[in-house]
Order: sequence, then structure tokens, then C-alpha cells
Amino acid sequence: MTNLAVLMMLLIIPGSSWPGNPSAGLIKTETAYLHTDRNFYITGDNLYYKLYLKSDCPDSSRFAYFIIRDEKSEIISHSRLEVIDGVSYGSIKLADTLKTGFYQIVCFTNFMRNRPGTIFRKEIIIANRFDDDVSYFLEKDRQSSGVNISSKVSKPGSLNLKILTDKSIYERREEIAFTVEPGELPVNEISSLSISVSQVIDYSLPVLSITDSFSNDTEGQSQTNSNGPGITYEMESGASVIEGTVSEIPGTAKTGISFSSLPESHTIFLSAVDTVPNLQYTTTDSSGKFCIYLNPWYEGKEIYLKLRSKANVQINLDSKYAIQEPFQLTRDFNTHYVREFIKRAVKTGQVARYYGSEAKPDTIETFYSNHLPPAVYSKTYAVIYPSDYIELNDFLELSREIIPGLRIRKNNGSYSASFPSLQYEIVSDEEPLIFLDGVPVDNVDQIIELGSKDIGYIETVPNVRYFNGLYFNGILNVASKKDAIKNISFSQPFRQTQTDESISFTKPKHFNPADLPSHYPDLRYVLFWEPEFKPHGSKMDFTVWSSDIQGDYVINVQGITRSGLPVAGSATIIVKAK
Amino acid sequence: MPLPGQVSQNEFARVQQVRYQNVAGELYTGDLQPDTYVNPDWIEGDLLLETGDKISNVFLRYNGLTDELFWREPVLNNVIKLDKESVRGFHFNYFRGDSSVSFTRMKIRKDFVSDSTLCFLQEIDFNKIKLFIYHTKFFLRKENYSVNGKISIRDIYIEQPVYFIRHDSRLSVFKKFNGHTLCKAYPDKSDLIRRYIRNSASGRLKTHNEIISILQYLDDWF
Repeated sequence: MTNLAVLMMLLIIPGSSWPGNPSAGLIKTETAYLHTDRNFYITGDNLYYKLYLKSDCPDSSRFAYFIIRDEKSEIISHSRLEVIDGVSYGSIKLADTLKTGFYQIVCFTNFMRNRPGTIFRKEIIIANRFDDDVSYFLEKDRQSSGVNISSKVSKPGSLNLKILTDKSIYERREEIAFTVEPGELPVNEISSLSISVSQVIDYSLPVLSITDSFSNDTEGQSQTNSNGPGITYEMESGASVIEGTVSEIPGTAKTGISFSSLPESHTIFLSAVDTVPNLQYTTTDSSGKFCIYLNPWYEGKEIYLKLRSKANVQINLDSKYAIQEPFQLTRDFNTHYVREFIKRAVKTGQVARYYGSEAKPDTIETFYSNHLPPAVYSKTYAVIYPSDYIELNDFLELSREIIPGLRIRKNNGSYSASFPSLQYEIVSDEEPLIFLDGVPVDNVDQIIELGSKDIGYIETVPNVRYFNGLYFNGILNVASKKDAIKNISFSQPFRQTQTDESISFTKPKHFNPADLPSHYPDLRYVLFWEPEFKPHGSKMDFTVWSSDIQGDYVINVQGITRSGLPVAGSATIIVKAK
Repeated sequence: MPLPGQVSQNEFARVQQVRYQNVAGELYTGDLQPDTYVNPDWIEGDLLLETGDKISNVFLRYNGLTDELFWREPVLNNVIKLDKESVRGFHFNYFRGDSSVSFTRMKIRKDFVSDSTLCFLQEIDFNKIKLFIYHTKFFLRKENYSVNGKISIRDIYIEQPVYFIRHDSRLSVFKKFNGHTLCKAYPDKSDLIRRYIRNSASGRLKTHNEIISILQYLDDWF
């Protein structure tokens, strides 16, 4: 009895180690840090980045999302990044049409959206090279942004990497040698480093390093989940996720309580236009939510999501790029420096573009899906080519004359199809599953007007098909000659959306002074960018070349150890004329 | 609402769905005549799908006459004739006294006339060589039998396995597996083969175990 009382007490005492207790370590978190080659860009430049992802989960996210948005919180660029061994790197081309101003990089995984506070944000300045009007920044000067620097920008954490340069002031076009020393850490312990040497606009304020970012987890963890529709965003450790809800169309909700108004589970089909009839499906839970781990074959394709059966509902898809928090500067910039810098950068940018001396990114690794489609059937059944026969005007005639085993009947003004040879039907009163160009349609009514001249071939599967837990009373596949699926208007709820595809790993070629003609100006703001440096041996020595642009440059090194500890270091050098 | 990071309410349901991803086949309502099957009874095993997914602890039957794989799907207990294209292989947990028997899908020519087709072959991996056994069955004759005084006719099928040995990406076919055919396929090992057969207890190569034993012995010499 005493034992039972103690057990009861343990269950009641708040903070005890019950499975759902956050303090018990069951709540998992992910933290991202993005190292960019610089903080200032001219339109048309490539923005180079390196992403570090720290995860408490054994299987961390495979994908991260990268957004650049303007001050009106409008997204100007978004991409999906492939995370391998906790890192990802690449480049984003900044469009020539962007206006001069502040922009924000937002980087996160789908799982991090559960705690918006953990989402990584960083401001950059983008200047349009055809626009040297800096009145925008004068306006900004008048407006007090109200950012409390001490609260928003963390003080630099322990920079555990030492950067030793051979001197502190360099001439233009001079060799700069520096060494990264890991301090107390053995060099072999460092798994990956990213190194940038670039000019700084505003070096008076500390830049958030990976050590600060990865130690500031508590801020993000304390934030509550502010998901609008109550979706718990899934971890994309293996495959990309499509989430959403099926809800009643506003204004059609039933009033009162009846058994018929109890939550109904809906089956959602997912497919893409292809010659192979393809299908993935999921079902909604009691609250109408659904989640599909996408077959990699669908990546980068336009997909159709539709309900299997007719219902007075709508499909709402979750957009991973919809950030609820509006744009807000996380740090103040010294606008005087910014204005002066922009005036000069716009001019140098125009000249640099004229000489075309910017290094193009080299593709290191691409992530094209080589998966097979989730084919509903793979056996070869009867294939009918209407062009082999006399021309027939519509599908009703085709079914009567040249499609064996298929029967189409007209009833109350609508058509229905069936395979009469089926002796056993699992789902009674249901038509065969009809695919048009690889996508399931609602019923035969939608293809009834297609005649011989519209159809390439027809395949029939006149048996009860099993597919991942679903049964179909036969399958009819129609491949049109001119993407007839695009002219179909679905009567059942459906959505069309474009799926994401990971962008390639890229990095620029390292600058070699011999490659630049001697009469060309060297107008590089970034002297060095190496996103994926893996230390070998005991020393990490680097040699870079200063450009013709004078000013203050910062050597910024960020990285991670094999055990997941962040490492960072920075040093400032000056480049000036004799 | 679950706390962020916790397993959501619908997690279990979705896991169940994912479990049966990419299995395709057709509902089979025909007669499952036991004589034609390599395993007359349902055997528990694993199904390896073309997508790389694995479905564990499912009931399978393999028909050697038609080279078809049947799966008893667990929800409605229906028999599904699986599409060979969606299955890369399967594994029986216990088959003919062996606790681990794997079948793999391969493209082979069943006879001189037909084109090569996808078939399931038992795979035995030695160190340097691999043995594949195609457990094909043939109709032998019809036979009268009596049950409670009633005479009926039944078909008699026999198993005529075809052996394939892969060594250094070379595949040798043995419709009849004996010392002579083995020496012909590997002439440089003929002395070893003859010596092994001479010294073996039965002095022949007839049973599966005898074939496996000699290949195990030869594997050391390859």
C-alpha cells in the first residue's frame, strides 16, 4: 500500500520524469546557423552560404529551407537545401531587379517551425547597381528602428579558433597569409570549416557566430508553438513532407449535433503528370490533418492532390515558406557607413560587371532524384492504340468498339464505367480507377469527350488491384496526345502544387592572380570563400590575394567538430594603397 | 495538441500506412493448389520491395509452377498476387529446415524459345561464389487417388531446380547439376571436383545439401 502511495505521488509531482515531461529530454530541437560569404551584395551577385545544423535527434532533418525576404516580408527567393552530415553549402543568384535595401535571410528546417524562436535570421544589404540613390538609408536613419542591440545581438561567444595573420595592413594585390589555430582542440577533431575573407561595412558591431548561435538555444526553446492551423511540423529526416488539412468549405458547415457531422476520414490521392500511372495516398486523422512523406520521384514536379471520394470540403496545404513573423531587423546598422559603402559599391559593381570578372560557381554535387515512380501497376496488360483503328469520336464509342472488357453506361445524364468480368469487388459501386496522363480523375465523365485523335494509347487492368492497402475495381489508363489532364476540371476537391527540389552544392573557384589580365581591375569584395574545408595534417594555412578595393576586411571562420561542438574565429585586416 | 517535438496523434496511423508503401498486386481468388507451391503452407518472412522498403513478418507463398509470389495481406486477409516488378526479393524465416532462406529477383531465360523474364531465385552467398536456385516445378502426370471410396484424378508435379553459379560476374547455368557439368563449367577445378566427389559419403551430387557442400568446398579454391 505504501509503495502504491509513493508511486501515485511520483505521478502527481510536477517535474517528475514522466514520458511527456519536456525536462525529461524527450523534446527534440534543431538549431541552424548560416555563414554567408559577406553581409553586403550587389544585385546580380552570387550569395554563397554554408549551413550548419545542430540536432538533438538521432535522425536530423535532411532538408533545410532558405528564404530571402524584403522589408515588406515578401519572399524574393526561396530554395530547399540538402543537409548532409549536418552541413549544406551553395549559392543563390540575386536578381538584377531587386531594390536597394535591407533584406533578411531566414533559414530553418520543417521541424524548427514548431518553435519559431529557433529559426535562423540574418540581415543583409542588397544594392542595385543601377540605383545609387541612398535616400532609402537616409529615411531609415530618421526612423528609429528601436532595436535594442544588447538584447538582440548576443555578445561574441568564446571564439575558440585563433587566426594569425603575417601582418595587419596589406597593400593592394598583395598575398595575404593566415593560419587558423584550433587552440586546445586537436586539428583532426574539426570536421568541417567555412572560411570567408570579405570587406565589412559595419565592423563596430559583433557578428553572430556559430558558437553564439548554438549556445542560444534556450531562447528558442522557451517560445511557444504558434502554428496557425495547429499542425505539428514533422521532421524530414528521410523524405520531404507534405502536410495540410481537409476542412469544410466556409459557410457550408452543418449546425447542430448529429451522427452524420462526426469527423470523417478522407483519402487523399497524390500524383503527377507522367506516362506511368502513379499514386501515393494518405488519410486524414480525426481533426482533418494529413501528412505525406513524399516519394522522391515527385520532387520538383507539379503534383495533384485530390480526394478519393466526393465531399463538400477543401484541401488546405501547408506552405513551408510562409513565415508568420514579420521582417524585423535583429541588429542596427550604422547607416552612415552603409550609405558611403553603397555609393562606392554601386560604382565598382558596374565596372566589375563590365569586365565580367566575377567567378562563376562550380557545381560540386547535384541532387536529382533517380527514383522510380510509385506505379500503380507494372505488369503489361492490354494496350490499345486508337490510331490502329478507324477514327472514333468519343470515349463511349472507343469503349464499345475497341476496348475489350470495359463497359460504359449512361444513367441520369452521367456516364459510369465498369469491368463486368470482375467476379469479386472489394469496393462495391465504385468505378475503376481512371488515370488520365498518369493522374487519377473523378470519373469517366471527364474523359468521355476524348476521341481517337486525342488519345495516344489506352491500357486496361481488368482485375481487382491492390495498391498499398487500397483496392480498386480495375484500372483504366488513358494517355492523351496533348496533356488533356490540363483541361480537366475536377468536381472533387483537389489542389495543384509544385514540390521542392534541393539545389546543388556549389562554391566559387579560388582566385588566382594569373587568371586576371594585368590591365583588368580586381574589384573583389570577397577575397576568399571556402565553404567546405576539411582539415588535413596539423596546420591550417591559407593564402589569399587582396584586391584593388581598399578598406577593412574580416577573416571569418566558422565550423563544427566531429562531436558537434561549434568553433569560430575572426580577425580583421586592412588593405590600403601605398 | 501534442507538444512540439512529441510524436503526434496521427503518427501511429501514418506509420501503418508507410509500412505498406509500394506494394502492388492483384487480388487472387483462384485455387491455391498446394502441389504447385515451393512452400505448400504460408510461411512467415520478409518482403523486400523495389523501393528498398522492407515489410517484415508477413505470410508468403511462392508458386514454383507459375513463378508467382503470393502475400496474405494482414488487414482484410486477402491473397494478393504480387507484381514481380514491385518486389526485389523475399526471405523465409524458416524453410525446409533452414532458418534463413532468401530469394532474389533475377532476369533469366526459362527456355531456349522465350525471352528472359523476371523470376525469383533462392540465393546462397558463399564468399567468392553465389549460388542461385530456380525452384521450378513441372507437370509430370495425372494420378488416380481414392478418398472415402471415391476415385478422383490429381496432377502430379515435380520440382526440377535449375542452378546458377555466379563467379566474377560470370553466370553458369546448370539444368542438371552433377560432377560432369560442374567440371565442364570450371575445367581448371576439375581435379578438385572429382577428388571431392570421390571422397564424399554418397559419391554423387544430387541433394541440395550435397550441392551446397561442394560449392562451399570449391569457394575456398576460387
